[in-house]
Amino acid sequence: MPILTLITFLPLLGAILILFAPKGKDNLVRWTSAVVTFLTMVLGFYVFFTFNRNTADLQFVERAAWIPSFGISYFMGLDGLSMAMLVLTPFLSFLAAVYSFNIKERVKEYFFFFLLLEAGMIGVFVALDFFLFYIFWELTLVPMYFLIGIWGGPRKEYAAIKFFLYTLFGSVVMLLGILALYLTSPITAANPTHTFDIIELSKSHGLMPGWHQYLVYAALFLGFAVKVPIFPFHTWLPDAHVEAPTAVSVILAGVLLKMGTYGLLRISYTILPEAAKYFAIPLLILAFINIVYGAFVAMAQKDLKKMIAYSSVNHMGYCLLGIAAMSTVGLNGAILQMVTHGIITGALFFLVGVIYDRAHTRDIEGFGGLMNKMPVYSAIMILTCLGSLGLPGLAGFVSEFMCFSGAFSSTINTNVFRIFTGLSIAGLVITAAYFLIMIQKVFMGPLNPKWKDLPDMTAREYVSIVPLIVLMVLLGILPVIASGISVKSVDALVMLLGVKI
Amino acid sequence: MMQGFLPIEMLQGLYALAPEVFVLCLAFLVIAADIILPLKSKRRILDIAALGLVFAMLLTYGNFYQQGAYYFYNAIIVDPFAGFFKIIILISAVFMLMMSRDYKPLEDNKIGEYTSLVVLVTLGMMLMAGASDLLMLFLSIEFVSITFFVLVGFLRKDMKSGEGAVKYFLLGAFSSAVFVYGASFLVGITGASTFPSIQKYLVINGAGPLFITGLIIMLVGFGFKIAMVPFHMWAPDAYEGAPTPVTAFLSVASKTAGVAVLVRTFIAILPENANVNLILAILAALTMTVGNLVAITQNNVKRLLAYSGIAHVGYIMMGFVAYGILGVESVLIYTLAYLFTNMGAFAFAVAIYNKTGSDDIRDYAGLSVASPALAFVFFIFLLSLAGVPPTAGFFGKLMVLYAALDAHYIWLAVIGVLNSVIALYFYARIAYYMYFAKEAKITEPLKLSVPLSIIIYSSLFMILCICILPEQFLILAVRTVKLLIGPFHAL
Repeated sequence: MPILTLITFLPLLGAILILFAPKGKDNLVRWTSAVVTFLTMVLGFYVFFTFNRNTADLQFVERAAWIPSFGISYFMGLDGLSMAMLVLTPFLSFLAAVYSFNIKERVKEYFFFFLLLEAGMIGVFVALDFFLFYIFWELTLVPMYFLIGIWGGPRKEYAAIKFFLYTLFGSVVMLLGILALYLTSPITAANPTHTFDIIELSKSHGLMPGWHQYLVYAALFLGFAVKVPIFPFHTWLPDAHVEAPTAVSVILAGVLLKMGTYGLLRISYTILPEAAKYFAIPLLILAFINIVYGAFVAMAQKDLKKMIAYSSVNHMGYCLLGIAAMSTVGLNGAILQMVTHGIITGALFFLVGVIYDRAHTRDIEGFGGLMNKMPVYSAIMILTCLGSLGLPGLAGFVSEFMCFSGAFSSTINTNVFRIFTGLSIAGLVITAAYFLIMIQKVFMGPLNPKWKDLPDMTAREYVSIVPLIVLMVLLGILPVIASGISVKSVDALVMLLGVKI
Repeated sequence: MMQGFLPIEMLQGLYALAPEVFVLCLAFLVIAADIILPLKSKRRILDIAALGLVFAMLLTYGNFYQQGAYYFYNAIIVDPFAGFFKIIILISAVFMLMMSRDYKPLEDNKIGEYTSLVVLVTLGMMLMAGASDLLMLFLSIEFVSITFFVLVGFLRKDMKSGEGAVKYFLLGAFSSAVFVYGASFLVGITGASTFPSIQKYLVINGAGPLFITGLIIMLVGFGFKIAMVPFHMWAPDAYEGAPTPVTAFLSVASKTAGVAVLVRTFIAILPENANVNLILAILAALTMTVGNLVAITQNNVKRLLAYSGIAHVGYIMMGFVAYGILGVESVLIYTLAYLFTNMGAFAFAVAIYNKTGSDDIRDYAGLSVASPALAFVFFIFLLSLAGVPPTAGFFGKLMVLYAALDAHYIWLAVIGVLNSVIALYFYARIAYYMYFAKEAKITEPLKLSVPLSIIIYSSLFMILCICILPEQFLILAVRTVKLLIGPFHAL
């Protein structure tokens, strides 16, 4: 059974199905999307549980000739680098779809774009041919543009076009990099054309001499850096996050940002290992800036959602730290961090949405004493914040610890890595500080009389949030569920990179 | 010399040019129909012409099986390359006639005249695609230009239409003169006007500086036809003033024919790229940058598409600069993508104009609420114009970028991709009004007439097809280009 094709195109099928829904049948549209995303999620988990963790080989491979005269094939497959994201994406999409039941305007279009987005995101993580990869990569832009621009907050138009232009800029430069890789792939008797095959390209790596490879790396890096986002390309993120509707923020933080880090691992690292090593120190420094700068800016925010948006910048910094380290622990940590950040920040955005739906404000200073009024909500929120700041026993701790210890023990340039890892620890302290200050201002103290009528969470909100909380705790106690998944592939990648451990 | 007058040779030529002969007859048929048909069924003439052109398309299909044969003393060549462009011209003519069916500003009693001009200009462009003699080239270009002057100024009561026509005419006449001046260099140096003879001369003597100068002067003439910067000034005014179907026709067919002669002349005369390529590359970069930057501030959809069309010429030039099989192949694919994308976009412009009577993109506000499905289809056309996958525009752009990188024009490719970001901005502005604007100007659903829906949905199908299943197009393009370049490499 071509399960990866199925899982990628099921949401697309759902999107087309929704188009045929009669006008005014909003509930039909909602439930169709919920069912489609649920089925996709089930498929995702099915793949997750049948995935063989003891091999670095590609699994569930599907390959067919597509555009032979250009060496383009329809090539999908999974390995440890992509498995975790493949299960996270449909999972978060399902929860977000359920949360989106509160969308009242233009419901049909909303879910159409939402499902289109899901198809694009899943496609990015399973595609192993550059052409296919790039189509999916770009496919995520358009729905996102509309989801922010139509259903977003007060400055939605600005945020939407900024997001669109920024990411398009990144991706067209990346396209040049891809074409350069394509052009330098060898032509042999067996392969009469160049190839867009990512795996094939990674096998023939190193054919390009020095600066050539660095240039291509830089072009690809720009595309990924905008997505992650890496300082100084991060300015679209707070705007997009603040204006996007809740469920879209969740997808944005939970999945879209990871496309950048995944791209770094899957493409830059496997195809251009030389350049990756060359740029390890700059990447480390950028990671450090992301961590510390993100944390400081988050602390300065008055808007709850903006604070969490900047905390994403900060947390993606940990992920980059692990990636820059190029050690087994660091890379495994980075992949785990992608998952845990998706879960925790996803939950945080949902929770911010919950309070915003009730109070219609996100001003941290404007709340106070919510603990008395909304005990369940407050408990969940505080627990998630603790998870985000890396409290042991919750998911965030494990991955952050792995990223840090991986970076600390990196053999690329021991001293530099130790210094910057040490400095980055400061980011952890600041992160703890801003979360605790926020908790104090919002939940502690006397109840602001303005909020005396706030109801607690509803069933729909529980359905969206509780699974994330359960996972957060579960991964904190038994991280091996997720961390074991990438071990073999990371070993192979480290071998390819040729870094001594 | 008497030998050449043997009727058998003439007959062979006429047989090979069956599509052109047929289109000529069609033009007379249209004039006859205009006399016979009563006023209220004059719009039938458009149908007759469209059907006739579809038949001409079938005849043209035979060109793909030709290996490249010269007729009429080497004045005209029939080969797949010419066939490819003829088909594009015919498709856009058919679409254009279908669009005219519902275009309100056209008066019923002028339809016959209008249609016969369209059919004749189609003939002219088909001849351009096959011209292999400088004289033939000049005559067909003039034929097309003069007919287009009339078509652009066809709305006699509209000041803008007249203004566009006059500007088009003045600049057109000037550029033709420059073109002839350049061509005279070539004829003077080589003593021949047909491409094969010029080729032979060059193989023996090589291309001297004076020859190259003549070629560059000729470039002015081509540049005018395809609206290349800095010879693009006429385009926005002519596009804005002309009846919208004529605008669509001008922007697709006339440009395509211009690209065809540009490519054929350069490839035929200069088998390997000479020093002209740097000039072409700079012009390409200028063309796309100026086109895109100026497009940002346009509010009239026809002007906007005019500038975006200028930018597209820049991309086509980028593929052409790369020369060689890959370069020309990318030009073909890009042109094909451009045909369907632009025709679809103009069909929308006509549909919305019929509804609101306005070409201002700010009046598109509310379209997405009134008819969400059509708005999204329009948006897909915009994406294709901007070159975002999975559309033909993307595949075309990928091809030209690939060709440019392959030919080591890295700086040009970088300018190309940066331009596509600028382009996205102004296409997204249209989407902005359709989707995000607060005050809805369009409140009732948009209804497409049958001809417009045929144009829109067939174009939609094609732009998705060119990106998702391009293999057949690529095979066709490679074969075409090999036959175009092949004979000269063999010399």
